[in-house]
Amino acid sequence: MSVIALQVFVSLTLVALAVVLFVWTVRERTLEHSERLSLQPLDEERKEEHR
Amino acid sequence: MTTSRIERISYDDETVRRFMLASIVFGAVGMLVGLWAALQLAWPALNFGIPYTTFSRLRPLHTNAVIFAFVGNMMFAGVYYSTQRLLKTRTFSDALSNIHFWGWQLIIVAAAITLPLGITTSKEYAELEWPIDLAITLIWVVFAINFFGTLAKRNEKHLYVAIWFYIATIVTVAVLHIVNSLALPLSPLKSYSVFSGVQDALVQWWYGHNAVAFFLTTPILGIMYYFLPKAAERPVYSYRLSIIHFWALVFMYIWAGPHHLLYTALPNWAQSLGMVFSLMLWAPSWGGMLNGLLTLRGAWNKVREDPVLKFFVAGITFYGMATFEGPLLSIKSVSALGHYTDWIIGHVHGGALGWNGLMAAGMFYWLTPRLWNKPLHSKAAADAHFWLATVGIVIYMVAMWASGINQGLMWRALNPDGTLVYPSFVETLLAIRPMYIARALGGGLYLIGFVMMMWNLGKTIAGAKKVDGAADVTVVEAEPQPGVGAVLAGRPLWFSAVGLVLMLGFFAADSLFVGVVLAQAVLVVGELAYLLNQKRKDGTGGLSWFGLIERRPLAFTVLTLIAVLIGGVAEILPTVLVKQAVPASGESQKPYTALELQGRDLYVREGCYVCHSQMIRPMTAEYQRYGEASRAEEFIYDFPFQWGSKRTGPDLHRIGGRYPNLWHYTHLMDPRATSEGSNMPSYGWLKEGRIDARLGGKKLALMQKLGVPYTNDDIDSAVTAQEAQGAAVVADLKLGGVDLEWNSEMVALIAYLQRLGRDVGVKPLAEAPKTAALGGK
Repeated sequence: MSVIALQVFVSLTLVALAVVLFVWTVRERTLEHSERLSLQPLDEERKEEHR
Repeated sequence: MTTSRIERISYDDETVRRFMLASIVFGAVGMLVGLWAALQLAWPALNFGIPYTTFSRLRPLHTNAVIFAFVGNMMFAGVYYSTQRLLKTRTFSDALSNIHFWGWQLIIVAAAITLPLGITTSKEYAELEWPIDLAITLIWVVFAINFFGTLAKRNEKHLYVAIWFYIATIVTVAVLHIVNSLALPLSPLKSYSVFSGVQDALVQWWYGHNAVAFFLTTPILGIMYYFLPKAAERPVYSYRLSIIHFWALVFMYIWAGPHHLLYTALPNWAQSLGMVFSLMLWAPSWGGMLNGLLTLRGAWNKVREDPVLKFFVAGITFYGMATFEGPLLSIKSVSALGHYTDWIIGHVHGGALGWNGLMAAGMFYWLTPRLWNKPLHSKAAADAHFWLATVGIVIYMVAMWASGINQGLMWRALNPDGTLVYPSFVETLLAIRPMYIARALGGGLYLIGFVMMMWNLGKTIAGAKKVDGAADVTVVEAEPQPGVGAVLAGRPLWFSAVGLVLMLGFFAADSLFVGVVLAQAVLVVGELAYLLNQKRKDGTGGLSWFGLIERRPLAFTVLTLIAVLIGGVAEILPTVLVKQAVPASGESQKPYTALELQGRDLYVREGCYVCHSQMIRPMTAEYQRYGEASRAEEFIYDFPFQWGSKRTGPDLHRIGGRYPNLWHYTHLMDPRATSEGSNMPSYGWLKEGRIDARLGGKKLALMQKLGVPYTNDDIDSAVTAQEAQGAAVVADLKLGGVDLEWNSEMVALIAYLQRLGRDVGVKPLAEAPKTAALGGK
């Protein structure tokens, strides 16, 4: 099998998939909670002596 | 109806402290061993004539120490610290944390004892013998139970991106380790891989490449996504980009293993597949790097003041450099120049010293004041450490780039009449010796910086009291969980399924052209139909599909495993096809005799594969120097394969019959007596060592189980056959005035070396190129 044809096929498939997922993501607002999640590491904490 | 209450959580930071200190101690040891090994390449006598401290045994000790002891312990420290805080709960079980810590340290100690003793499988970064492999599996399962148990009792519904990277690490490393370690034991300290030749090479480099991916990269990316925002006091630049970064990385990484085997006897299409995916990896890797660096937007002034951020920024930048260089080296024409050379050593140290080492240092400097509740002893010392480390890495990498490209160009240089410009391999060694000294200098600077960090952190800890983190968290009870159906009905899953079906249809189509056109047409029509009919369906209380996935660790883990396994299967499949393509009747490779097998085991014990390849690539210069290109069917009885990955010395695949026995004896006793300027250590102890002839029959019997066509007579007469073959070598050596016993280790190794590359189908030696290419004068 010609590897060029295989690469073209895999590449076009991935590009098409990426376009669909991008449009779908924008329209569905899939990641609407991402701003809240990105703040997770910044939560404050207290210190207590090790027992 | 849900109820909630406030609960005080106390985090287990003692485990974090232990892993961190273990990482620092083992890091210093691993780097010291690396420096010692580097110095031996310039001054081979620095092994002091001791087998246990010889380069070929120290190098596996160095790589295992820095990968599994330094980065491993650092990774566990970061995972335990961040997971508890991101999930708002204490670790699942303190007992399991203890077992994990002490079990891992015992494994490291076992490695530190066995590797210098020459107890090794010879599979790079998986050298440890089967009992230790079993222990690794057991401890990894303990870690997994502890981690997933913590996920199960968490008080935060959603999983932050760092947790995803940890999940990918745990499931993938388990798969890689188990498959690559499959072996049949001969004794408590010796086993043979169940794979041979090409299959073994593919499985090994599928493991080797993804050990870099899922042990040295994904967990550290998780650590980056947690500790960098902490240190910069601002959220990650783009959480959405981190999602793309994660899925693209875990899906693509696993395919790229064959780039370690370009121009070898691996089928060409598999090599191209590995190259293409390696090039594609550049995009998600740089997406992650930019996401990290852009997190500092508006806070670059802090980098000037804060040593922690200095280390993180430089570490992430080195990640970007290494992940640019990796795809570059995966291009076949670049690999033709760079493979087997020091360029690869420079590349991996850019990743190890730059990415792993600097990220580790940044994390240690951030954690220590918080775990002991005391400010860092000396910011100036930390800054000095940063500059020593950075300058050290640059010297190291530049030296190895210069050395590697020099080697590659000298090896391939041809005169107009087609002969080699540099026929003696030693010429290249002499040319790169200054670079070896410069490399040791760079590594030495890096180590000095590391020792300064040890002093600085030690002074910080001295007299300080340990503290643990605590937080008040809202515990929600009777929280309704999204159904499995909602997860499985997600559209991305359906898209992936349709994509896989299309790919299968493409392969099934008779005509390539028809297959491509049909598959693309179906895909495009499907996409248009979907887009035109798309309506927002949101019956899950406002959460998107991905939001659901993030709340279900089991579903998330399964999806990650699927993403990883697709590439894994695509790489394992060729091994099955290759097995069918290689004659299994022994026509192309004659099975080794019992004495040759004993010699082969000595070749493995001494770590000859560390510096010598056994894989001649199909290139004019390689033909001129070494002989006919290696073919897949010449390795069907090689359990495990000995192709190697580096040519500090010349290739040995066609060494058999090229020199007399006396030359090999003299060369092994004193390499510079036959090859002036060689940096190979002397292996004089082989003369005194004795093989256990009774093991010869046992080895043949085990090989018989693995499919090598030995008869029962071969097994029964193994001792006498060894004696007869050994006596012939001894008699030949006696003509040159050398007296050896037939069961001397030297005799067995010479018997193996004289056997290499002389199978059916290879051109007779009379037709082989007549050059002194292998190092003679």
